[in-house]
Amino acid sequence: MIHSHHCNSSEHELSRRQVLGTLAGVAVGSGASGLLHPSVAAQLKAQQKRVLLIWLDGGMSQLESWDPKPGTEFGGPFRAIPTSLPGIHISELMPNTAQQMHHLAVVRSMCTKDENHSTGVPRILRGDPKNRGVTYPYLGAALSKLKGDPHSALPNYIWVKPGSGGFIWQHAGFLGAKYGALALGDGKPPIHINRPAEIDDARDKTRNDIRKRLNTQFRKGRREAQVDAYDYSFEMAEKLIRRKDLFADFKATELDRYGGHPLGRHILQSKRLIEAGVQFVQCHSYHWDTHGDNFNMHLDLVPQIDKPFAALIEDWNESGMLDNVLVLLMSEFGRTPKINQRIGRDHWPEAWSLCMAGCGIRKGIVHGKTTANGAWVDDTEYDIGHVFHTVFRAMGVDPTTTEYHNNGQPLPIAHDDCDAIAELLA
Amino acid sequence: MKLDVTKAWIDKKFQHERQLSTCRFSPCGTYVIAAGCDTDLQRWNLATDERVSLSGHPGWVGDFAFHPDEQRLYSVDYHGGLFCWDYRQDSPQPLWKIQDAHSSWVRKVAVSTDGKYVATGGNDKVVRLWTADGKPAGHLRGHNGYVFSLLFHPSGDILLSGDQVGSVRQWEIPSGNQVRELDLTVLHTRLDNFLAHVGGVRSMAIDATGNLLACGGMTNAKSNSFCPGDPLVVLMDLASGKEQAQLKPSQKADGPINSLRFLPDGILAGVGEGASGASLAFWKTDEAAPMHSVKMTSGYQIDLHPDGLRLAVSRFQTNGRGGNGRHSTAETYISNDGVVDIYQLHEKPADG
Repeated sequence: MIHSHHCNSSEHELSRRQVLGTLAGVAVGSGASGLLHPSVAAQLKAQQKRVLLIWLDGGMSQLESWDPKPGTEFGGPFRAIPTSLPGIHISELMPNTAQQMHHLAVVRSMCTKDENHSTGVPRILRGDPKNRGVTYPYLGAALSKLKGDPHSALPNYIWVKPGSGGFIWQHAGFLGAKYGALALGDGKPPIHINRPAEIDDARDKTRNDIRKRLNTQFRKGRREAQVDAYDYSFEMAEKLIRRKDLFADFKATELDRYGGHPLGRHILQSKRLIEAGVQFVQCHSYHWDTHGDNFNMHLDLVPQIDKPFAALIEDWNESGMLDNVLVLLMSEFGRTPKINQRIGRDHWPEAWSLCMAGCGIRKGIVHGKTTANGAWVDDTEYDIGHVFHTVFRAMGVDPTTTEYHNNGQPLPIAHDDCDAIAELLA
Repeated sequence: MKLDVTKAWIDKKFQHERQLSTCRFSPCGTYVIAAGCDTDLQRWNLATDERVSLSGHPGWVGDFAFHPDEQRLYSVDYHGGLFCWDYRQDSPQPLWKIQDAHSSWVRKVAVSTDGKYVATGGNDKVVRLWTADGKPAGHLRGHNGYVFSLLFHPSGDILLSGDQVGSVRQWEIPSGNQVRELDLTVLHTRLDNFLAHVGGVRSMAIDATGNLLACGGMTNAKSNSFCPGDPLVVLMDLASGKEQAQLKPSQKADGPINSLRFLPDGILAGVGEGASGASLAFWKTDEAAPMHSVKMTSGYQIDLHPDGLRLAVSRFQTNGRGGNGRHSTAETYISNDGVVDIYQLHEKPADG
């Protein structure tokens, strides 16, 4: 067993200073309009479809969530409970989600290739395409390119995550920095979002003109992508700071419904951003890598996704938002059926589950199955390429005919040996 | 035979196809019984090695304890159940059972030394008191975390309960009044970026004087994913309620001390977990480092035979390659095992 107590993530590669250094003194816009009210959700139908990816980093156990096998060799101590979908059971750790199962589509037959975090996370989030000598974009960057509104008043791709924030241009791959993620550390807006009161509009314009001149000078002799990253991070932050209302305190009733813990708050923040028009939000939670004390940890962890996820699905279903937003809940892999000597479960890409809901996705389906002991897929195996095809289809993009063009090189947007999971599409 | 833990040797080994988190000798001395990651208890006759299963729990068996009458055994499960068995029968069946003794996992059960009371505790954070025949005798409320450990004081009128967040409560029996709270928060970690509590008071033991309480667990947990920490035993002086000493294993390990037991000569024995192995350790209570250690896989519980010379240790045993990913076929990918080692705590006879 290879153990590392510290999983490294690529997001740390760009420092906060790099991203935020250009933000000092930026003006606060005057157009602070209110949040989108659910009653106008119908208007969204004429607008772009959106995606919320909820990512449980490290790997939630499929046996303690979507694919329980109580009473079996690897089943663990938790019970399976009935759901709103007749005949379908999920873990007792997800009682709220169980009541929303008729809105969800669960795939129980994921079988992917990478058992490591360091390579597995980007591999999954890039859709694991065939190697064509280029670095593919993360799903959020891909959809920003394919579906994002270049004139949007908000960034197209926002990453809500614990820890620090910044502009994560690496997510864009060969698409270029423009399609990178604006990461909001702890779901908070970029620092220096408030323009000091003593700086009026005229002075602020002067400051910005200076910044632009300095950027032009700075660009000379430097890599285009790096300078682009600076420029785009500024542009994105500038858009966000016009919407301070998006970062107002949550109401007590919201926190009670979604949970006051980080994941509850971050899902609430993601909800606000999507409702305000952000095209793709990735909401991230760390520390699901339960190599030790798996059952005690899942006992505390799973309720932290169950409550806000179920609330989100219920709220968006009632408001109609779910018709226009695809919600994807997943990790980079599942956890081993075998219980190790620290009563933990290790990494298991062989047979795991994920959940989708909303825009373009069929409601109330559990697709695929695993063997009786939960260790292996006992049906058609689906790789992440199938999921990318499915998401693109649900978003109205035909992945068999749509291509990227990288300096004249046509590139498929998803693995060319995979197809959409037809059973999941509405 | 003279008790000498430095000469300890394994006399017998009982194996089960699931991990065994708990093991105890019957007070009659005839059996060792173990349970863990499945719904049955396993009974082995120490003389004949005969194995019999005690089946009936709907969920994993969290713990079990014997009544001093040498007839009854109480077991609890993760579905909230409390069962009572005549464990000596050829095919033991429950004498009675309470399926909803608790609203969720029951992790621990203990029987008072006079046999009048049975205490249970678990995830509902309530310690419940029962008469020996299963009638409710009190709800002991106050814990702010899951109840991880239970121990009746030899005096019979004190119950100690340890929890997930490092609190040990001392209760007066049978009134159920909380007498005081002991601070064992050194055994609990919840850093700002943790999603869950890590550690807790995983084990307790009390010495022959009735004044020295040993609490086991781990400190300084680094994450809530691998849950690595520094194994630790804290000795508490019950008269003052103050910490007296801290003991640590010498063998490198990163998991909690799961079980403790004082031996007749005052030596404290303990086992714990480690991702790469752990140890069965023996401490003199006035020395932080063990006087003797036996390297082994993760250990979950120990118990002393009524003869005072045998120690049962339930521990992990790998079954084929583990760790991340496949590395095996469906046919060879099977559950890890549980083993109960029976140690003789004396010099091995020359003809042994």
